[in-house]
Amino acid sequence: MPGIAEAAFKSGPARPILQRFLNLVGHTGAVPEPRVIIVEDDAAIGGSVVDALTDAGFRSRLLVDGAHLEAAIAEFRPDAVLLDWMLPGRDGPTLARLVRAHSSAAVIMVTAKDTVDERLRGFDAGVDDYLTKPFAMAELIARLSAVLRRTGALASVIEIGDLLIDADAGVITRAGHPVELTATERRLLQYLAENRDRVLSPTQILTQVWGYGEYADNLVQVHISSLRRKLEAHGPRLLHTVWGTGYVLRAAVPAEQS
Amino acid sequence: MSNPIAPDRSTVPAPVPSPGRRGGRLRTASLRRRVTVAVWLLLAIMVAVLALATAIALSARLDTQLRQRLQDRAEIGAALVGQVSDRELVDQIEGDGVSVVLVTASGAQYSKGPLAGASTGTRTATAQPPGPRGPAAAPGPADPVVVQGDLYRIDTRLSDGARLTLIASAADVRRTIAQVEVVLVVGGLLVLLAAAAVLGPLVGRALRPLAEMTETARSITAGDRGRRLRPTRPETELGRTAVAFDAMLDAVEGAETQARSAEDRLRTFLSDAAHELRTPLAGARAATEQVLRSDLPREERERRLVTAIRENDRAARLVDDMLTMARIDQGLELRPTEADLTALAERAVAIRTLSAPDARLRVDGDPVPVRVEPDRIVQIVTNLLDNALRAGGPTTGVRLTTRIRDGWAELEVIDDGPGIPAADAARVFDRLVRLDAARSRTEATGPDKGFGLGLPIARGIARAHGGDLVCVPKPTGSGATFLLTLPAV
Repeated sequence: MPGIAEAAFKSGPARPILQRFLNLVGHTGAVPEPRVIIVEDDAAIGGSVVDALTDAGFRSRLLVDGAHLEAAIAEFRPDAVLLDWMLPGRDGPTLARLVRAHSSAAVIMVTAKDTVDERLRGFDAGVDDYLTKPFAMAELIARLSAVLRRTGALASVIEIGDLLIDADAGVITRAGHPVELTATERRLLQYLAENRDRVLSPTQILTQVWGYGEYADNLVQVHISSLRRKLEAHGPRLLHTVWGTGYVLRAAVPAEQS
Repeated sequence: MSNPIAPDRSTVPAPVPSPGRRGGRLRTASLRRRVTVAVWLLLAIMVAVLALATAIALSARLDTQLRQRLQDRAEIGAALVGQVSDRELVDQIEGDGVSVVLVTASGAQYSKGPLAGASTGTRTATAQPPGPRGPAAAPGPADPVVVQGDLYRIDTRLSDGARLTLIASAADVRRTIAQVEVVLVVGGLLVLLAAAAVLGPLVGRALRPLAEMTETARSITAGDRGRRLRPTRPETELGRTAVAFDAMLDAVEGAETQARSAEDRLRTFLSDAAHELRTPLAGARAATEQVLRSDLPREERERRLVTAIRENDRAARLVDDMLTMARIDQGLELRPTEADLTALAERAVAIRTLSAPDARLRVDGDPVPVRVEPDRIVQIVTNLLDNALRAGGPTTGVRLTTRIRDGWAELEVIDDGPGIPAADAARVFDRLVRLDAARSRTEATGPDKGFGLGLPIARGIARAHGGDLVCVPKPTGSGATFLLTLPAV
C-alpha cells in the first residue's frame, strides 16, 4: 500500500475521506487495525476485554493503573482509551483530561456507579461515551466501534464481495442495488459482517444480536432466512449454512459448496 | 404487617441538638455548697449580731442600773439631810455595792463601804461651788455620774453644805458581762460548727431528687430504658424539671425505637437479599463448572454458558434493586420534569410488547400532566406489567387507565389474571415477598423468576414523588388492580 495512503490512514481526520475514496476505486486492502488502550485494574475484566477486542480486529494494550498512561499514549498512539473510572491513584476525570491533553484518542469511561451525576462528571471531563459494569461485550464493541467510526479510526463501510455495508449511513448495497432490511436484520447483518469468515453458532448469534432473554427457539433461523432471501435477490449466496455448527458470512469462493 | 419502606416521616421527632452545640453552657456551681454556705453565713452573721446585741444591751442595762442606783441613793441622801444624823445618813445610803463618803461642811468625814477609800484625793474637776441654800434642792440628773475605770461616782452637794460622794464598782458586773460574752462567743461558735456539720447533709437531703434524676439518667444510659421519674408534685420547681426530663426521655426513646426498627428492617432485608443473591451465584458457578468438567459438544457448552450469563444478569438486577432500595431509604433524589402520565404508560407498554408480543396491553385516557422523573415512572409501570404477565401468563390482558381525580393523577392497572387475595393486598409490598410459596422458582417465568423486590421499589418511587402505589383488594379470580397516584400538576 502506498506510503502516503498508509500515513494518511494513521491520522484520524483523513481516514473517512480516504476510506471512501479507496472503496470507490475498489480497494480491498487490509485496513490498519484501530488501537485501543484499556486501563482496568480488575484482571478478569481486563483480560476478557483484551480477548474480545483482539477477536474483533482491534489492537489492544492493557494497563492495570493510570500511572504510566502518558508514556503508553506516546508510544502506542491509541485511537481510543477504555478508562475504568474508579482506579486507585489518579481518578477517572484526571486521567480522561490527561488523555485529552496528550492525544486525540476517543475516551470511553467504564464505571460501576450508574448515577446521572457520575456520568455528567465523565462528560465534563471530556469522555465520548460510557459503559456501566457489568456490561455485555456486544455493547462494548458496539459503542467502541460507533465512536471510532465517528473519529474515522474505523472504516464505517464493510465490504464483503459486492456487498457494501455502511453502518453510519445505514445503507446496504449489493452490486450497487440497495437492499432494504428491517432494523433487526440490519443488526444481524452487522454482527455477521464484523465476524466475517467465521462460523457462528445459533447461540452466539442469538445472544450477541438479541441478548440473554428467553426467546423463541427458531428466532435466529427465521431471521437468517429472511436476510438471506433479501441478500440473494441481487447476487450469489454470501450467507452460508454450516450444518451442525451454524452460519457464516463469506464472500463466495469458487470452490465453495453451500 | 407490611413494612413500609418509606416510613411516615411525620412521626419522626425533631432531632435533639447535642449539648454544647447551641448557645452557651449551663452554669452548674454546686447547689449544695452554695445553699449551705449562704445559710451558714447568714446564720453566722445572725449569731454574731445576736451575741453583739446581747452583750451591748446587757452592758448598757447594767450600766444604766448602776447609774440609776447611784442617782437614787444620792436622792435619798439629799432627802435625808437634816432628818438623820450624818452617820445614819451614810449608813442608810450605803449598800448594794454603793460606797458613801460624806464630808460635812465642817470637814468631818464619814465613810462607809469598801470603795470609800477611793474617793479621797481625787476631786472632780467639776466641784460645785457652794450654791445658795435652796429648800432641799434634789441633786437629780444635774449631777453627772462620772466613770473612772471600773468606778462609778457621783459627787453631789447636799443642802446643808456637805459633799456626798457615792461610789460603786462595775468590776463585778463587768466580769459577769465578760463571762456572758465568752459564753455567747463559745456558744455561737459551737452553734455554727454544729450548723456546718448539719447543714450540708440537710441541704443534700433536700436536693436528693436531683441525685435521683442523675441516677435514673445513668441507669437509662446503661440500658434500663423504661425508667421514669414520675414526680409526686409536678408544680414545684424540682417537679417541673422532673416532668420535662420524663418528656424528653419519652421523645428520645421514641426516636430510638424508630431508629432501631429501621435498622432491624434494613438488617433483615440485607440478609434476605444476600440469601437471594446466593442462588444465581450458585447457578452461574454450577453451569460454568460443568463446561470445565466435561467435554461437551459445542451446543451444550454454549447452552451452559448462556445459563451462567443469565444467572449473572439476575444477580446484577438484584444488586441494582438493592441499590435503588437503599437510595429510596435514604431519600431518593429526583430530577422531576414535566411529563404526561398517559404517554409514560404507553412507553412502558411499548417496552413490554417487545418481549411479550402475545399479551393484550391497552392504554386508555387523555393526557395527564405530571411532574416526575419519567424513567422512574416507566419503571413502576413496567414492573406492574411484569407482575401481571408473570401471574397470568404470556397472553394476559392488561388495561391501563389514566385520569385526574381530586387533584391527583391516577393510573389504574387492571389485569385478567388470577388476582391477589385480599389478605395479601398489603403483604405484596413487603420486600422479597413471593406470594404462593407453592409455586416453585422453575415455574415462575420472566427475567426475575418471581423475585419480590419490584413492588416495594415501585411504591418507594411513587412515595418519593409524593404519591403512592396500592393494591386494590378485589375478590380472588377476577384479576389484580393496582392504583398509582401522583400529585397532579
